[in-house]
Amino acid sequence: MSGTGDNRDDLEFPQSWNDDVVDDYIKPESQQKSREQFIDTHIPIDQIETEWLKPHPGVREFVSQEEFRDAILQSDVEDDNRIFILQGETGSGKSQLCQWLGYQIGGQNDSHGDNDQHVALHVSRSETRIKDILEIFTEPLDMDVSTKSLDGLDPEKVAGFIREGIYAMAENIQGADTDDLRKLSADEGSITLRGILEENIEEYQSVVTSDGERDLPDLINDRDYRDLAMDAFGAVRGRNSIFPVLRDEIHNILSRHLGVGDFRVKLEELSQKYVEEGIRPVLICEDVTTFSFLKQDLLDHLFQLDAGSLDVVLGWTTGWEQDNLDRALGASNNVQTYMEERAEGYLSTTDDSGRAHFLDENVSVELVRKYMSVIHENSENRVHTEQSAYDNLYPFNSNFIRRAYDNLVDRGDERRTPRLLLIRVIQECLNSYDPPFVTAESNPYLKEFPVEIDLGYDSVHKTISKWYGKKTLDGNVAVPIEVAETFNVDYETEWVRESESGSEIVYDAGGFDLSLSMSLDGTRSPGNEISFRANVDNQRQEDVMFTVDGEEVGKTDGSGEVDFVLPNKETEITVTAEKQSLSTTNSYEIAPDTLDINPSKKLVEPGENLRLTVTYNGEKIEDVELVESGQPVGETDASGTVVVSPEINGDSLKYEVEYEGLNARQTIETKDPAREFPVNTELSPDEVKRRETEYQSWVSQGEEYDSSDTLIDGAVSVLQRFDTPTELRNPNALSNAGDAIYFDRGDHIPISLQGAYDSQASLSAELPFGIDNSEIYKVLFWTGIGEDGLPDSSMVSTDYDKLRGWANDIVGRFREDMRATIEECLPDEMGIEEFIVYYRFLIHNTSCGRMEINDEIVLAELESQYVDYDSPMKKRFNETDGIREAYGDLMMNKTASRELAKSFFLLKGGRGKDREGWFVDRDRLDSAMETVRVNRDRFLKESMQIDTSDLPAAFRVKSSRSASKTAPLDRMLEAMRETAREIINLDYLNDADHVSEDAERVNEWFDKSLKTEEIKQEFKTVLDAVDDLPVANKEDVVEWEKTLKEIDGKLALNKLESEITHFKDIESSGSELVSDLHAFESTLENLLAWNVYNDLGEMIEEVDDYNPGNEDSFDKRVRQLDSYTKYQTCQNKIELQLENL
Amino acid sequence: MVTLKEKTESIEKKQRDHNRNEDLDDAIETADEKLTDYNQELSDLSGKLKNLHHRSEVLTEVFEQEEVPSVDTVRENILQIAETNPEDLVDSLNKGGLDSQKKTARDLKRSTDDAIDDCIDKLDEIKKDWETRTSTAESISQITGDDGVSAGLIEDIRQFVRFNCRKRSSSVGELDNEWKGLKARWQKTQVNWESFQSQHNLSDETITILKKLADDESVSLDSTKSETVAELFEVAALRENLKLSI
Repeated sequence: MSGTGDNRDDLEFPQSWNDDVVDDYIKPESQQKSREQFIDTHIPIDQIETEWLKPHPGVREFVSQEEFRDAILQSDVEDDNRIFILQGETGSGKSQLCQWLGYQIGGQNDSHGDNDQHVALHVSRSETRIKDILEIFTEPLDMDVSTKSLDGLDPEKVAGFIREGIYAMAENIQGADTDDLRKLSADEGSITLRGILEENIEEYQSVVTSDGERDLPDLINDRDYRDLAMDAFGAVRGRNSIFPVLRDEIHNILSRHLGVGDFRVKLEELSQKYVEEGIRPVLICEDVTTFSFLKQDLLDHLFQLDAGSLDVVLGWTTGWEQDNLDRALGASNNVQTYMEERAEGYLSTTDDSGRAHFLDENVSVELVRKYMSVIHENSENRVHTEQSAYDNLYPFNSNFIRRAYDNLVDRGDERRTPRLLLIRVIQECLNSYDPPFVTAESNPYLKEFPVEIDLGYDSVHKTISKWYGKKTLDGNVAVPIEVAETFNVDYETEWVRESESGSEIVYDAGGFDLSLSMSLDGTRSPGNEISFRANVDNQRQEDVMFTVDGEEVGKTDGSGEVDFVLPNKETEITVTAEKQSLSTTNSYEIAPDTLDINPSKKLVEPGENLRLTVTYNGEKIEDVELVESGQPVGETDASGTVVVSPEINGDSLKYEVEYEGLNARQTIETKDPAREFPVNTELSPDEVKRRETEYQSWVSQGEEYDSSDTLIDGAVSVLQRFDTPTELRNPNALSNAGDAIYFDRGDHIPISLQGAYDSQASLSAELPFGIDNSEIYKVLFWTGIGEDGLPDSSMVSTDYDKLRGWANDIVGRFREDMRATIEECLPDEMGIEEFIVYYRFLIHNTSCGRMEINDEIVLAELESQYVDYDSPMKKRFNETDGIREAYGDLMMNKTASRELAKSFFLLKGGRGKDREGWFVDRDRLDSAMETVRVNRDRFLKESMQIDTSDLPAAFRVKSSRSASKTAPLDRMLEAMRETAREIINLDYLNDADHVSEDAERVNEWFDKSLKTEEIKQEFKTVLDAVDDLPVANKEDVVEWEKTLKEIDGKLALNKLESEITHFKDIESSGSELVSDLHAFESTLENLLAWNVYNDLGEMIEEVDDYNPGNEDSFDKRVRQLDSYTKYQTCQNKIELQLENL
Repeated sequence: MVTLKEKTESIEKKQRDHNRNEDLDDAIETADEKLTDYNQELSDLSGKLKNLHHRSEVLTEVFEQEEVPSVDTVRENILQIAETNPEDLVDSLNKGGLDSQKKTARDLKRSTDDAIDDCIDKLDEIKKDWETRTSTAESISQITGDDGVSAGLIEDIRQFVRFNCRKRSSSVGELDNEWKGLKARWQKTQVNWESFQSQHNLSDETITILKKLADDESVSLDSTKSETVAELFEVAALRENLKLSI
């Protein structure tokens, strides 16, 4: 499946048409064609939906073009106006129908014998000027109504004329304030009435003289008025009061000026003239939307029913009436009611989704065939082509047309109308130098839809199969060999297969799940002729053999039908349909009285309404209960009808009624586009197809595309299914003990698509494009589309072993990346395992002063009271000291580090305490511990250099992917780095000075010759003195008293001597110093002799600092008193007083 | 190199020194308290002596009276205090206290108070004498219709004997000058008996009685002639102003 020409420039193909013939027949407006051209290409419009249609008996939901025509022709000459409203989307056949009516009613070509009094007045979309309309109106009367036209006038002058008329006559204009009108018509400000009118008149003239589809503009519209009011009043007011008055006055002035005078009066005169002549005019207005400023006058005249004697077909584009009708009619009350009271009929050519009723997939093929047939006939290019390979549609085939019709869109909205199909697809393809499948592929009026065949084929094959291919009953896609040959597409001979219809290229599509269904069309009464119909994949199927009660009836024809005369008796027949490997069986009752359920359509899609009418011997019957799959869904109304909105979840819907002992069943085929997919999804079928197309393009070419998330979601989901891809732990472990390292970004593994999407995550698994991967990717894609796992394997072949292998490979590589990224930050020879062991060592070293590296420090839980003394970390350092902070951060992860140790060093965890039932991965743990033992000091130094700036924050330690309690790995690394820095910075001179000071003190009074009792006595004596002297604070004395009490047995004086020797000259560093600091605190807590001597030393220091001082005598100190000095003063004074007395 | 034992001994000595010092501190504190009490007594005494000294001088210097005898008693007793040797006082404090000294001072305060009271009594007598004399002078003025003694002088004299002489803020010298001035003015003021006799045609005897009466002397009716009495009553002004006692 390679080596074929992929260069479209090389393609050449025979043209069997002339471009000018194509342009003659395919025109936007049906009226642009000649009568012959029209008749050649007209497809009967047999599906006109009726909201109501008064003269027509019954309440049928749909009428044919003939029935509509007959309803119109029910009138007599003098009858009042009768109005038929015909609405539908642009291009949905309104014009076609109007044109057909125009040819059908009156005149020499009247094919309807008894209505020679009726004459059609056909106003097409392009004939909406006053002049045109009056000409059309007067033509059958041989009258000459001379009018001027707006076309040749100078817009500036006309605008000025109107403006001045309003300004001058403002006082006489009823319904609006004179000042307001003057303000609006004043030639002041940036937006003026004159300017607006001038612009709109110019636009009007330009539209009139163009051939385009543009509508004639109003002289002033709502938007113009808003701008004008804003400029004149500084606010938008009067939209519902001043605006209509202003607009009417503008129209009046213009009408008078154009010599139309009062248009309504003129219409009345004409109408009267027709009555006098005995002629009943049928005014057929294709699209009242385009009537410009005469709308109101015209509509007023028409809806004033007794004002004239006309039959009127009033066409308008769906949606127009919602915004414009009330304004156009000037009706203040409910417009719908207003119309219902006056209109004879209200009909529609399209359904709610904008699809033309009459044009289904099969009719669309018929339509194009009709066009292609006349185009071929009228073209000189008669290149011989094998038409049967193209279903008489060359250069298209019926699959091509169906696909095109099915995917028609206009500016993003579905719009399946003949005009769009013919002009935007057929004409475009015929006018193009490229083959139709190339032109169609890039046509903006066609939605994208995916390729069905294996993506390994070259793109030209993918495209050809997409447009021309049909599904084979064995689940592949076949294209007539002529197609490849016509368009010079190379193919491998082994792809070719002979079939009933000739040689076909059969493309491998992996198998579809196809089913055959049958239906019976006609009344099942004895002796009646009916037809059986066969469908495969919702398409009529040729060559299906039907058997009734074991006897062959025949094979279906090209329309998928075969006729049969029912047995002439009451019985039950068993019918079998069969083609190749497909078959189905049904049984039908045959009875004289027939009860039937007549559906409004035979195929229902989700969201569509279905009208079921029940008849008994052909009569509609009321109050019959309709049952759908055993559940009652309603009773028939007076017209025998029940409307249902069925929920679609199977291939068909089965309806049943019972009446007069009879049973009727009706099976309605359903088409749920979503069910064509191998997964359940809430996405619209269009969206799924768009994504599939984009995905297919990426897998082939690796280009960026919008819906790349779908494949990524699928990949994530599949990876998750097989493994926990973002998890790093002991790969040999038998069970998941402990906490692993996760790359915790979003909730899944980051996926990048080569060329299309970069996950932006620091680590991601990249999926390379290339069709070699498409077998796996297809599964991923559908998983991404679906809501519940892998796609249906009967629709998407899935090799689970391969899928697992792929997942293992992706996950394995991702984990390697994870490990490499982490280890990049660590010192040489420190892998993740060594990191864990070393982290655990640091925890034990700093919290307990331990220096050994063994199973216990790695795996055992650190007791909550891990030391029986005050931790030097807390006792000897301030909270603001770096080491305190680093130690805090280190300890914060003590649990995480242990859990991590479990996940990396256990083969199997156990539930018991003390590591009972644990199976340690001996080799892994021993190797890591040995590396740490050997490199302990180097690791400390190099840990200081750990740089986490390139380590993604997404690395987290936690128990499972979804666990909320997590420890960020970078924080652990940083805690290790900071702890290492602080330990290295520890210095015995500064950080262990308390140790040496204490040791000095103890050593100073330590006397080996003294026994415990003697020491106690000395202690007591000194304490007694300290207690007397004003030297120590109370708390200290209490402590010393406590020590004294503790001296009970023998003091460990030998141990004391050795401790003094150890601590007196402490000169360690790093982890040893940390260990010494712990040992010292332990000594303080546990060696009483140390405390006794230390306390003695402290007490002696206190007393040494004290001096009892003052040794003066009593007399001397009295003489120093102030009171003594005062006494002397008093005595002298009295002595003096004595002398004076 | 000091051994633990040696160190302990030196600490014990320090302890003893400390305790001794603490006892002495207590004694000094007590002595201080006592001395302060005693100083208060002396200070009170000194104030009283100052008071006594002032009043005694007003009596002797201003009003030229004899010194009250109790002042001398005070003078003798005070010697006990004035002549005390401060060393003896320190000795007393060392031996137990200043109780006897405090008692002496209190006794002396009492005898000083007594002497002050004696002086005040004397001043009250002087005040009473002068109130009578000024009152009579006012009556004579009315008898004779003569305005010889001015109401202002009478008021000044009364002010001096009642208040000014008792003010301790005024110095004795100032009081002395003031009083001398008042007395000089008083003596210059004489009644014009001759014009009074001729105006009312009174006998010499009647004038003599009137002079006596004016000098606040009492006149016995028995020793007075009836003509004289009659004369006295004939003068309308005398009739209204003389108060005769039988």
